[in-house]
Amino acid sequence: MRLLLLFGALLWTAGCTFPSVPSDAMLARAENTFNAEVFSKGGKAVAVIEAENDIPSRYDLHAVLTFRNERTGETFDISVRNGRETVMLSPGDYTLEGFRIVGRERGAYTSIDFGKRYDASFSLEAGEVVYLGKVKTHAVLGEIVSRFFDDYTRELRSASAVTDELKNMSPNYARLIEFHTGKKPSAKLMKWKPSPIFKNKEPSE
Amino acid sequence: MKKTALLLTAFLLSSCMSTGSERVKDIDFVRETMGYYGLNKQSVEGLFGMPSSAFVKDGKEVYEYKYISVYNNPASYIPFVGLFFAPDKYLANYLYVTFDRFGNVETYEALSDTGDYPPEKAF
Repeated sequence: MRLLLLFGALLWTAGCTFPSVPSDAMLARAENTFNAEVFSKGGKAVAVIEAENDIPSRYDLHAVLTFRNERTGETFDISVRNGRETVMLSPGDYTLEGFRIVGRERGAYTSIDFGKRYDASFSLEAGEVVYLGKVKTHAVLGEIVSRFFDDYTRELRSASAVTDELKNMSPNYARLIEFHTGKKPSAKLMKWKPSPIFKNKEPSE
Repeated sequence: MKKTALLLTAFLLSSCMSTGSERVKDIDFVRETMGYYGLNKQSVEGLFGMPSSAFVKDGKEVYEYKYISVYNNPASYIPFVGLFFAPDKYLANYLYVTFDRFGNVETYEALSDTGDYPPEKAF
């Protein structure tokens, strides 16, 4: 009985608080979180990125963009959980390495991997505070792929693009950036286009 | 044998990852070392190696050294106890050295930031 209780307790704690092993992504996050003191020394840039999607789901889905620093080869994730994210990066050229739409609720996990469906890049210079744009992902309904009496399954595609929504940014957020960095964010949209492999598969607008 | 297994398990569980220069891991040592009189570019490179980045600010060359690490608390693996000591920790050390036009150290600043992971966001 005691052993059973202990086993149950172990399972419970393992399920609730099983420790995460530090990863490269965690290191990148610790390094890229904005630090006013570090930014004031120079040699860093601040990038703001927004994302939204209307992919039907029972719970919130948010974009996770993975970028690679062309000089160092290091990658880092930008998880746009609340619609926008601000990161502090070293100057240089960055390219999109991965693009996923993910969501999690009560143990359930959804991930839509767009892989290398899009090519995107941006460059940063030291001291810059830039707005990289809003990555908008829209669901596009395709053809009916199967029908069973009144129920039918429709093909679901999606299309993503980057738009300039700096003017619509919450004034409070813009002021917060200015307060911490001493600069207003300026629009410097990342270059975003369908990857040549998937270009022909994009739904027509 | 048991002791070895225990030590090995403890080593495996208290995992840590880091990036940057190990030589700026101990920020007190960095501050003490940078307090020496008459340091120049060569001696700084000798002490801390090549910088992770170098840039020009206000017409002066600046070397940036960094050491970032994330580690989890071994206590987090102990059932129940782990519930109260679970958070991962991070450490971010930076050293900025500004040189004058002759390559001598003009100013330096050693910054250290540590806390529960993930770091708190300013915005």
